[in-house]
Amino acid sequence: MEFFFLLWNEVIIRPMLNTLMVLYVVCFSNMGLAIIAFTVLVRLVTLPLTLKQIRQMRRMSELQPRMREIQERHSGDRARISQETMRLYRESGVSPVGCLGPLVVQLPILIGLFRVLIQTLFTKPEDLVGLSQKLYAWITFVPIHSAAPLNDRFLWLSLGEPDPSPIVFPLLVAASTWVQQKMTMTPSPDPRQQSSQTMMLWMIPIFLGFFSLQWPSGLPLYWIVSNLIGVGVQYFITGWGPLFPLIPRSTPAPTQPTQSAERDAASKEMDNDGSSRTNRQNRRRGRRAGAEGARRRPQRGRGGNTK
Amino acid sequence: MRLISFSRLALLLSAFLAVGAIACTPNLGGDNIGWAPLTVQFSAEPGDPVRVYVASPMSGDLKDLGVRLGEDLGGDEGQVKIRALEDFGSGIPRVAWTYPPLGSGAGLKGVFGSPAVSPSLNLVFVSAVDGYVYAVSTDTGSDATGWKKAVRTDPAKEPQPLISGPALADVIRSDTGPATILLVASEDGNLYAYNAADGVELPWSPFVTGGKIWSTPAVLNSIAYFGSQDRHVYAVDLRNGEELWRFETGGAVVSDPLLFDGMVIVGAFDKKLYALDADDGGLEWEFQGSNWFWAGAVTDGETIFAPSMDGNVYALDSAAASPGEPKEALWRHNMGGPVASTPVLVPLGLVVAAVDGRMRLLSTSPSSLQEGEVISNLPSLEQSEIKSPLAVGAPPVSPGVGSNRTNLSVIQRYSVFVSGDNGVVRRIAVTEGQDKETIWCYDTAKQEPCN
Repeated sequence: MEFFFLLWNEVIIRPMLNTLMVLYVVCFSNMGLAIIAFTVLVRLVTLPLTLKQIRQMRRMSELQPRMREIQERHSGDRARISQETMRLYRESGVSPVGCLGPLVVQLPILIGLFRVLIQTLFTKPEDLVGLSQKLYAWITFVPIHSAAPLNDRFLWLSLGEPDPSPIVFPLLVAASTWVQQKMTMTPSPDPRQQSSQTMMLWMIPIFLGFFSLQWPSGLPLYWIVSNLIGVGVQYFITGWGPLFPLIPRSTPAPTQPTQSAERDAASKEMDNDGSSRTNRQNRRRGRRAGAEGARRRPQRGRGGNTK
Repeated sequence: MRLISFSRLALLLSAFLAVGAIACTPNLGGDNIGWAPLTVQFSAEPGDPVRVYVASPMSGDLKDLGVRLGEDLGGDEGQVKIRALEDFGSGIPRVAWTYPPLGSGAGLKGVFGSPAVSPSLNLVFVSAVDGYVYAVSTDTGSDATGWKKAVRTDPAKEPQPLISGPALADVIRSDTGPATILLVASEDGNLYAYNAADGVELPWSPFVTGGKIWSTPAVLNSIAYFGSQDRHVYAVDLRNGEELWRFETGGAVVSDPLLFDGMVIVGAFDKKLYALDADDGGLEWEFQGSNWFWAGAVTDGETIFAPSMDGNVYALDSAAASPGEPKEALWRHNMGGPVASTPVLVPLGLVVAAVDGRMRLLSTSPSSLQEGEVISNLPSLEQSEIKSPLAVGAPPVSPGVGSNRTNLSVIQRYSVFVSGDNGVVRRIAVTEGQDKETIWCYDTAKQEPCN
């Protein structure tokens, strides 16, 4: 257990704490800006994982019609459905746990940041005594030792304390989480799964919003900025996705079929080799549109997400 | 498919977050019960007990303690109370009084700074995290003959926490003549001055700084010297509240200044120890450590001993370094852990306590050893940390001022008091040629001798 704490401290807490301290000094002794910069840094470092996750989810989305077909074909035989599904994943190069990467990375960061914020922003003597031992002595290019105790004021917030408003940050946490989840949702042909997806789509934002009522407001700030970056990355890769019905496209595309119609068509037009005509059409459309830049990509992405 | 379904991922995320949030949720606003600081009042007459005032939390089995004392202590759980221990020099000390009384369910929330005692006023002063300063009778432990005051400028606002200890100063005031005033520094950035006898605030009070004040003022010739988290060291004339000078350091100043040889010696969070001219605040010299200077420095009249959060105790010559050259330590001793507690000098040497409870007696005589000379290890505190200043067993003597110490017992001259932040107080013998042993140990939180 002691080894675990040592590992946790040396691998997660101290590097994060010192990074945050350096950013604090660099960001004009403004902890809010430091947390935003820290979030951008974390998202940059985890960008390869995020991209991998998005690609995996996109591929899974593309496989939905075939999965539905498997379910229909082997209705009632759960073992067979599972076997066939796994075979489909294997053939399509989709890793069932591929989506977990960013989550696995984000969670220790989130919990670590929680501890770091407590240690840096709480300005009780007890907290500062502990902080002095966690600062790296070798960081001399930025005066991190002199920076303590930190100024925790940002906008109307004391970042070491919950939002005094007290609903602005919890609402932003819930809303940004909902938007990001909605964009990354993989539509399921299974009604039961659809129902549980809908439940989780609402439960997690409410859950996080509720928790952020109690959290030091630096943590919701991290979460909101991280979500916004996530939404931005998702948009540039796949477009608005399932969020589309809520946010109309800037350039209408009247010739594109609706999601359900397209899905039905994809199901009907499934080839024996496992790829649909719609998929191929989309890939061709994607190649044609590729050079036209990011403005067109959201539309293409929408198609990709709803096949 | 079910393995990777969105709902499973979401559930996994929820579970992780729930565990993380529950496991890591701090007790916001809690853990602020202080460091159980103590102050010693020496007996005026031989044979009278030494009084030890300590502000410590109520903990342990209060039900059992309540049965033992015949009180219902249910409401006292976690409350910080001031205790007066009477030490007759042998045996276990006895608790003379407790403030607020046991069973009252009241407390001081938390105390970090050492209490101050005025034998002439028969009052002990304690500043607390709840933003109040308490003046309690040394005889009865009651504030009926003393006073209690919220330290703030606006009565409509909650007072800010008081981290530093109160300081007493005898001042010739222009309006009322000689008076003892009480200085209380607050996290609201102000230094407040009260008439110590009745708690009436002085007309010039408060003196305003730009940051929280954790440094207990040192007073000499009606001038208070203290540091602030606005990175400045201040000198304030207590007769009129006028700022005489301020010196800017590179970091927050939370340590208690040492006044020595016309200098103000004070450390800062920029890892430097500064020696300033007490008259004009000019820089005499500075010494570079490798972590914060939190604890105050002490001197034997020749050498300055300054502990640091880097774990070292630095021995420094009081003279300035050669021009253009950094000041070097005569020697340094590493305690193996940070030192936040101001050390004390006893006839045999310097007693230093690290935060982790380790205590050592170091030689103060000039050493050829770069690591200093450890005379002996003292009994360490277990299961407790030491962050409040140590206290000597005999009245301190100002450097260069003679003192008739012949009426002091061996134990008085050769012992130190130390308090762990769990409220365990010990008196430790530091006599020559004998084992350095604990004379007594008393758990003020449980109100019983230590095991």
